[in-house]
Amino acid sequence: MERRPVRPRSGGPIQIPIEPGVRDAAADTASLRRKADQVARGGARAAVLGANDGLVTNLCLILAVAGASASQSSVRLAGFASLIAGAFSMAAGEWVSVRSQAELSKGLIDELRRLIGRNPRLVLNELTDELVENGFARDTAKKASTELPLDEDKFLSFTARTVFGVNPNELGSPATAAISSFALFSLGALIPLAPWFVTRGGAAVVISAVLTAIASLLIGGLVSWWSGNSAVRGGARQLAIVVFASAITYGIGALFGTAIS
Amino acid sequence: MLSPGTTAPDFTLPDQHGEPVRLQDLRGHWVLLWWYPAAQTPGCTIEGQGLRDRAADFAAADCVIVGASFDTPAGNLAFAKIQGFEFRLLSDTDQSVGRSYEVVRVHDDHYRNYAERHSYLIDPDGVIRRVYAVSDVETHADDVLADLHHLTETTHRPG
Repeated sequence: MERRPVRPRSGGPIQIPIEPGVRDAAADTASLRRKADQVARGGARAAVLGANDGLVTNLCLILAVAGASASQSSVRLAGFASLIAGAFSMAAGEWVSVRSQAELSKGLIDELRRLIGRNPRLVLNELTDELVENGFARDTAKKASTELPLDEDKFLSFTARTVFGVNPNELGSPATAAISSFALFSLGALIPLAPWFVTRGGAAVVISAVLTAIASLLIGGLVSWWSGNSAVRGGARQLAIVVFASAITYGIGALFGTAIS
Repeated sequence: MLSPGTTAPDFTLPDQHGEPVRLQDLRGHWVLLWWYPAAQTPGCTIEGQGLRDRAADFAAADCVIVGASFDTPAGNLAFAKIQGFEFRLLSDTDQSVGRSYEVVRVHDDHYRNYAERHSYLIDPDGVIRRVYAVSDVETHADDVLADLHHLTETTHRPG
């Protein structure tokens, strides 16, 4: 009778050569902890909000220039230059940030693979503990953590999420991040700048400030609401920050602007 | 999963070297029939290492360890070589023996192509005495040895 192995349709079992014994359990544990700490410190990517940065940066700049009694065209020029400079800076920053986060994630998966090869007990025990922490009965958790490696991709991704708190699948492309923050910063920076294309002087300053305040309230509220907090409080906090920063900048512009220019 | 007291279904399966192994031929010894899902995966490795490291105790209790999975003999050979397993690993690639031992998973199980992690402790008369739905791969060898000692003491106690 011919015996043919039954192969899984997708996602084969873990294909990592496992050593016949553990050489240095303490070193393995230290290495795991180090990696997890690294992720906790650097991995929490700043929730960069291009639009908000654009708003604050440009309002402050416009107020500083206006505070120094510059002409309408000088304010427009400075505001536009700031928009372009900021958008490029944001895009570059975002690109680097996403890129390095993706590299960190990849490094983490590689490290996990190495650890499984060296000390599968450690990794399975960590996974078991995490599952227990998340409410699984220990017996179920143990069974789950020995079953999961039968699908390598799922196992690595699940372990990265549960043990390291990093989701290797959630990162977008660096290019998308760069383009979207370029666009959002420009949009944000355009709001305080727009009035200067139609009016000037005190009226323009007031409209700039009011538009920025409304946008800040909306952005602050939205971000707060996304992260599960009070939209009102988030909006108010954002507004307070913008008012504070702008007032200081305007004051500095008024105090020194004329002297410098 | 078969119940204790059942006669262990007889079978002939190739070991990691392709040599046929018949359960009937092991009569007269205790047999630990250790079903594992997949060669060289972490859980199975840890479980097998436990059995490997207690091999002397199993031998002392006159218990033959026989692993079995749906892996190919080549896959099992690599597994045994790397891990230094002295015991035989049987290949039930068409899952027919697995079905008779009820270690084949239900159809919609994501891991349906891998055996359940069940072990059977079979006495020298070919009767299943203990069954294990293993969840703790680290203590499995010790758990079986404890039962084995208990069972042999009971069996050999005079009167």
